[in-house]
Amino acid sequence: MTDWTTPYVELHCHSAYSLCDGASLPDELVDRAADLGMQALALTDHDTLSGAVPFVRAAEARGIHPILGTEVTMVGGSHLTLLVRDASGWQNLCQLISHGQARAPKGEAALPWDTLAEHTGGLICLTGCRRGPVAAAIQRLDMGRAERAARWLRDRFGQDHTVIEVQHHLHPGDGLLARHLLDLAAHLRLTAVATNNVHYARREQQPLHDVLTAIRLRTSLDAAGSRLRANSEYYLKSGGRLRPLFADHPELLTNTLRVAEQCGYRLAYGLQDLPRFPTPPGYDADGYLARLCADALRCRYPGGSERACRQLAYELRVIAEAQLSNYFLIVWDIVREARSRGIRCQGRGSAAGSLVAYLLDISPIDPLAHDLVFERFLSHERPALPDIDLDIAADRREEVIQYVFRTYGEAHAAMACTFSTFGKRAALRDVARVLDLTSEHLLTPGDHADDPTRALAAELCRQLEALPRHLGQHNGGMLLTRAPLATRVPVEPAAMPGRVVVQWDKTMLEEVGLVKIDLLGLRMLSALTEAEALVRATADPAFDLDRLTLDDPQIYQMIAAADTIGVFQVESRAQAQVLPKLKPACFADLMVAISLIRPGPLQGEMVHPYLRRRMGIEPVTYAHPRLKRALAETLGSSCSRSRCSRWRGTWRV
Amino acid sequence: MARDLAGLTPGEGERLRRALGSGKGPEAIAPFREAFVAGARARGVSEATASAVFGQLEAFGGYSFPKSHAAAFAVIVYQSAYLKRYHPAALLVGLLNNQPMGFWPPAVLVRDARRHGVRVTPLDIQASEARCTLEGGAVRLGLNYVAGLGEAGVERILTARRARPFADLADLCRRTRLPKPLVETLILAGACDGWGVERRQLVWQLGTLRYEADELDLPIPGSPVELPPLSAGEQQALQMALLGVSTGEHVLARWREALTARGYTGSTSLGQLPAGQRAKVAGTVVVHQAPPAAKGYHFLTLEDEEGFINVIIRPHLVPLYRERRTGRLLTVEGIVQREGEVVNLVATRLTPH
Repeated sequence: MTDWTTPYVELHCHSAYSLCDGASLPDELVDRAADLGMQALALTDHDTLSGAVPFVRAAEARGIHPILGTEVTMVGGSHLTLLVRDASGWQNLCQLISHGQARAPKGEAALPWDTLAEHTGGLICLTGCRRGPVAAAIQRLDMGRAERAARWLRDRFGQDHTVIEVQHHLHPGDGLLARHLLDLAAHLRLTAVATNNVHYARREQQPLHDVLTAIRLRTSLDAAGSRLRANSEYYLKSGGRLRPLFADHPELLTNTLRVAEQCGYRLAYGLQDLPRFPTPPGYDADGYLARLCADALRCRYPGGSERACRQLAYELRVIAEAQLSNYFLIVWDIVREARSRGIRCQGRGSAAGSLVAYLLDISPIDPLAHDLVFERFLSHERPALPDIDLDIAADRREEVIQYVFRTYGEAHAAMACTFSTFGKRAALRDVARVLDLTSEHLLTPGDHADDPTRALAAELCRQLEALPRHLGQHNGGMLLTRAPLATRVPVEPAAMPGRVVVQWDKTMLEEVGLVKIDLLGLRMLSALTEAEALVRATADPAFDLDRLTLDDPQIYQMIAAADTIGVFQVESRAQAQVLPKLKPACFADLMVAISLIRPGPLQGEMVHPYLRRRMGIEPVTYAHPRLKRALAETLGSSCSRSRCSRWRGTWRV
Repeated sequence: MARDLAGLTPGEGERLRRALGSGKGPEAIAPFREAFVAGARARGVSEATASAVFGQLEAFGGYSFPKSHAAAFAVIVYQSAYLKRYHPAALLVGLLNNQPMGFWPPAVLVRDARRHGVRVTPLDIQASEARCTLEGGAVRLGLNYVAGLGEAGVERILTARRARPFADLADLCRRTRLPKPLVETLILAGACDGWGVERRQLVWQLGTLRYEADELDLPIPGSPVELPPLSAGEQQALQMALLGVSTGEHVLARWREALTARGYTGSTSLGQLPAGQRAKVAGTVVVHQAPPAAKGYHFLTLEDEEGFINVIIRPHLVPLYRERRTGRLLTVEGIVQREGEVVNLVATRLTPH
């Protein structure tokens, strides 16, 4: 029963990123809003903007306007709904969230009123749900206090940006509360809007919301009692659905469109967000990078190499055009610092294709000698950010992280977060607890059709599985910003004292174009460091793992014989089984071996064709002659992603 | 590939690559399949071929590992292989001190190193350092392998020992004041063998010691008790259970003669058998795998005193083999399968012991 005739935009809506409260993911809400014909939708999770990125993406896909906002929790526990109008509003909201989160235990927030007063620019303030300062005072029949609260907000946010929020969920007293709020709005000449304090996209999801509430309260549904919402009216409603509730005041619905129109902010970032690397006097980032590379080139290629010079000039041009010189310098500095402390550290990922990365010591491999593709890393046509991930000796990674925090300042660095979802196991355990069932009861196989409790529990588990449950600190993903971080992205304290995390995970950061530097801990690097030191102490004082020539036939014989227990990456059972067939005899073979023995190629049934072809059992064929150019090196099987790159290399006309 | 075969533009190709790599699942990729297959057909490629190629792209997109990632990792592979080949004891120390890592548990690393001629010496309260170390070319297990000792416990032992070696059990207890259960662990793991007193005897002594406030009152029991010593097998089992590694020989070494007499083949001889030959083996379970891609097949790696035995369990036998605990002793009858130099035993019967 979709009603297209009553225009309405929902301005107060929680997603599952209001952890253990909202029952729908942002895209479900957007889908529903689009189906209901809404032109815009606001996302107002509790004290977080975690849902913002998926929300914006979904909204843009469905062609509705995403309004970013938050329901902030104030000191004392009252709620206010804030919506972002423009870039300054975004900055203010980010700071308010950070302040609120910083002053409360994890998972809670408490924003001081005077801090709110300092950050009202660019924001619209809705007076909030029943726990808003205005509505709460009215419910206590303290009209004076309600008016004072409304005036306080109006004086801070301004006449045009303070909006009385009216909700009606068919609870006894809702009508009366609405009338008082409307009187107050008229008295203070404030706009009033209807909102529905949405907690799930569809009415049917109310049981899931109850389950989430009980999980949050760590209790069962029975024991939760009146702490559960009394009815199922908190779904995303159309204007037509809401109209009868506000029959005397249709402007409450149309006003939502006027508020929405004021919220034109679009989420966008650029590369310029990185802190500026302090270059020596007389150099800009491009110039300094070129200088460092030129110096290194002379060391790495003592006789000179025209090919290397050409490649360097080309890469430097692409890097400068993409405005990434600064980024390279920052990573170079981290690597240099780590090395100077004797912490093993090397670039991972597509950076190995870059001569610049090799010259800066970020990558251990000469891409020219090993025929690695720079375009996989960065190219003219790819606006996307390249990733330089650093593997760091695990036992000393924290030192490197500390260095970055110190160098760029705690206000400019934060770790990315990760969201753990409920997943099958936790969903089952939690649903069982909330429904007062044993998880064995749910686990017992059998037809659920004849047992409605089990059928319901199974359905609840299914719905719960994909929802985010906790926000944690990402294991090494670091965000650096030039402007103070809290003005750019929402952050909150991590469990570790003094450490903050961005409320976005690494995919979200990537999606909005924020550069993240991954500092990953790799235990093997610690093991190598320790072993190297022992060799120096006991056998060969000059021993240096980084000066090995990578061409000792005995090493390859050992690997080919699958005598590899304890050897990085090629020691597992699957690898041991493939090595004798593959017989790697040189470094290039080793690279193939590593890209080959992965679940992907195994699933694509590419490993065995490659092996049979390599062993000469099967003739080399290509699925189609057109693929010959891309696949010759892997004998017709597409086993590594840089094949993909070569395919892409050939796209360019 | 997307361009050569299906005529996609670079932009489309890039989006496809991103969708493949994003791990967002089939919904995100489905639209590309249509475009890819249609584009390929327009360029005269059969639908079957196009679908097959796309299937490969999809499979590897989900998990792929770019060659340039491989490049950086390959350096580490080479470095660790180099150490294994020329400095296996040093590598073992590095690996043991940075657990958990890699595929194999410490016990397997230790036995593999032993097979490569590395001497591994047991924990010793008088000699072990905080971490595993090299001691005259041999690997000495470190106190980091005693669960529950913690940095503080280790420090107490090392500080007390720096003053002078521990004269006896009472001296150890008096000067370290470690909780009794930890001392018992040290005794049973063999760390206190240096006093020449049998382990059960030491545990008995420990029971008679009394930890008092400042001055320790350490009465010697009036009537000494004679306890039967632990057998070598018991000692080794205790070491394994308490430390997670064992420095002795594999448990099967002691039974090899009896096993050979009963027709069991060791891992080395198994590698020489022709394909199709029936064989019986015995080993302890070190890895049990059931990869989703293996269509119901399970893979076991057994270890005996000489090396490893790869066992393939066909799906119909899987329900009959429920015991998957690592360390479990298992006998397997089966048929030798050879592929080049790779030898597997396809199980026909598995018996846990």
